[in-house]
Formats: sequence, C-alpha cells, structure tokens
Amino acid sequence: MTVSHAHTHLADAVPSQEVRFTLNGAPQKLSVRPFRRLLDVLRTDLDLPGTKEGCGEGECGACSVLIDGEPINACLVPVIQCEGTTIVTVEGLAGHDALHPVQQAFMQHGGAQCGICTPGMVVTAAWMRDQKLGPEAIREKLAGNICRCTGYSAIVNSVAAALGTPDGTPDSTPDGAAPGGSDA
Amino acid sequence: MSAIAHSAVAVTRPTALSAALAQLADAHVRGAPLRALAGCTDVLVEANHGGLKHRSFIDLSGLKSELGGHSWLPDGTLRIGALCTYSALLADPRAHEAFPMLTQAAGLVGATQIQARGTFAGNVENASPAADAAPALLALDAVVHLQSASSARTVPLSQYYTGYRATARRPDELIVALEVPPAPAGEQFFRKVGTRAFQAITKVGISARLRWHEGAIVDARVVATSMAATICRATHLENALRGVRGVDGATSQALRRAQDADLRPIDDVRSQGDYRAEVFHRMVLQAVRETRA
Repeated sequence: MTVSHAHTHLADAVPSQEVRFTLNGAPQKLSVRPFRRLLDVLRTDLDLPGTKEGCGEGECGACSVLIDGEPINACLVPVIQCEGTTIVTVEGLAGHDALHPVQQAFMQHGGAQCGICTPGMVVTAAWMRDQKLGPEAIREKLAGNICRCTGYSAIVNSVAAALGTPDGTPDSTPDGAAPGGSDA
Repeated sequence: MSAIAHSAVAVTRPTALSAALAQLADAHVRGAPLRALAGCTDVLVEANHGGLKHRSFIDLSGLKSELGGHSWLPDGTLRIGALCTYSALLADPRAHEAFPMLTQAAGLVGATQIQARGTFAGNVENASPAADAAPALLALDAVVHLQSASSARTVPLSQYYTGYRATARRPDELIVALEVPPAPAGEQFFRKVGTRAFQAITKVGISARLRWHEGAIVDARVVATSMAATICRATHLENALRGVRGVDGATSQALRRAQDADLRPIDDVRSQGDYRAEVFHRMVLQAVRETRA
C-alpha cells in the first residue's frame, strides 16, 4: 500500500546533494535528491527492503528505524536530515551468527503474522530494550506501531519476553505468562 | 495542481544560524520565501499525500548546536530551543514537575516515533487549531523569540496567530526559541479528546490554568483546541471562572453561556460542533474540580 508519489519528472528534479551517515555500523556517502524520504533511499538505493511502508503519514510505524538511538518513522524524514547521523534498520539488529533477542522472542512467541508491521515492531522493541524499559511500558511505547493481524497479544508477549531478560537470553516463559503480556 | 514530487523539492542545509537567516532574507527579497524544516512530522505528511505547496525549503537540522535542547533561566523560566524535540524535554524530570500540562501535551502529541522527531517550535509555527503543545504553551503565557538577519523580536504567543494557519512571523524570520515563565504546577490542567490516546488528532481539547485563593478562583487561563480556526483563549469563560468556588448547577450554566459567547465550534471531518461544545464544557468543570486547592 504505497501512497507516496515516487514518480520522478526528470525535468523538475533538483540537483543531487551529498549526504553522509553511518548505516548499520558502516559509513555511507550518497549523492541523492535532498527531499527524498529516508524510507525510499533505504529500500531503493541501499537495497534494504526490511523497512516497510504502511501509511506514509507517520501513523503506523512500519517504517520505524533508529536515528541516533531513537525510533523514528523513515517515511517522515527527508534524507538530507540524515547528514551526520547514525542509523540502524531492522537489518542491522542481528549479529552475524545470532538473531537479536527481540527477534528471537518474536519467533518464540509467534509475534509475527503477515510480517509487514514486524520490522517496525522489532526496531521499536529493540529501542525499549536499549532503554531498559519494563514490560509495563510496552503498550504506551509501542502505540505508534500498528498491527492489523494479531490483535497484539502475541506481539506484547514477545516484547515482554525480550524486555524481561536483561542478560540477552530469550525468555522461555510460555505465552500469556510473561509480565504484562496478557490481554485477558 | 499536480502533486510536487519529492525529487523536485530543493532543500538547503545551513550549518550556522547566521547563514540560515541570510538565506531566508535573500529568498524573501527574491519573492520566493523558504519554508523551514525541523521535525518534518507535518511537512512530510503533506508531501507524501501530494499536498505540498512549497518547492524550496531550508533544513534546520544542521543548527542543533545553536537551536537544539532546552535550558532553565535563574527565575525558573523554561527556554525551549527551536529544535528541541518532545522526547528531549520529556527526558528532563524538572519539566514534568514545573510544567505538567506541557509534558502531558508532549506525551500525547503522537507516539514514540513522533515525540522523537517533532518540535515545540514546529508545533507553534504549524498553527493547527488541533495542535497539542501550542495550546499548553499559550495557557502558560509563553512567548516566541523571532530572529531575522537584521532584527530580533519577541511576540507573546497570545498575539502570534493571525488567522487560520497564519502567524505573525515574517517570511525572513525564524523562531529561535520559546520561553515559558514559571507557573504553579497545581493550577495546570490539560486534557485532549481524540479517537484514542496516542496518534490521534485532537477532536476537542483544553489547556487551562486556574489559580485559587481562599476557596475561589482568582485568575484563569482557558485555551480551547479544535474549537475555532486557531487555538484561542476563551476570555468570557475566563472572566466567568473568576470567583467560582465549586461546580453547582447555576455555575455550570453560567460557565456554559460564557463558553458559548467565546466558542462556536464547527462540524468537520473529525467531529461535530455540538459534541465539541458539550465535551469542552465538561472538561471545564473537570478542570475546576481537579485544580481546586
């Protein structure tokens, strides 16, 4: 569901500008038109399609990435504003040999269904884990990540499991028993 | 008018305030004013939906060392830099203690991702009648510091809105900071009503300060959100609140009559005028009950 106007009238296009940032740990130097959305640059120019487009207006969180450690909507960021920043996308969370604890928890607790919202959920949950937030914060801090499949319980359970294990070991608590994880 | 493609939008990115003000002045003289980009949580929504009316922008993200963050003046005044985000202020415990109505507004303006990006100054300049932070700032008697290449001036927020989506800022000026004078926390009251708590644009909202002395309200600021073409103070209602000692039937009716003299909300895509007026009235009564010393 792409609602952006990505069509390019070359006659109207403005000159490209150089933008440098750190992406998933590696330096990037791009020559891009300044107002293009970070979301499009990631998916199209940088071959990182893990970041999804849902609403295109900052409501759904499917395009969540971390800029300088904070979750933001990549559909609302003109790429020129990335100059000098550090960006982490869902592709940058896992190590070479192991998934990120949040990813592990989503697998273990069935947190993904159709998968469109999942990368944004995982990115926001990874930020919550970085911030050492507790499971009681999940429903508020995840309010900007909308899912149309699961009804949220499995997602909340997954995130609670990821937050409840500060040593990085995924929690093996059964679904529903995780703190703050029950809708019932 | 066909939509402006993102690739057809020009953006400059100065790295010093003086350079930014020079660019604004130059563009103004040429009759092609630049629109400023801060958190982009409004501008990019316009652009993504084909509603953009500008092709030339000035990005302020290179000015964070000069315009970012917030500070506290010796008298307790809060100075909010033009690029201060909601999340930056929310990270300061003193802000919650001193200005609970402002941090409540900042925490409800949007979800985590919007709080990390949106700015108070952007919320003021966007001039939406459904804004969240701007009405709290207005109720707190905030002032807007404007600067141009050749001048600097301070405009009370109460005089900043000149009409629907229109402000007192000249095209060559930039908001550099907002200042909020100290106010007792106990007199502050903020409520917004939307379809849900987060990520919902306000159907009707109230930002109030009710000062009590010896069992009666002695001073009142009441700012209405989504009740008129701009956020605005309800001055008849403020006058009617002075002397109020509590909520009884006659008081409630008098407050409603005063409110109706100030505010005639319309039906629009988000809500209905009658609903807005009734909910606003109930929030006024709630403010009286909850701030009562």
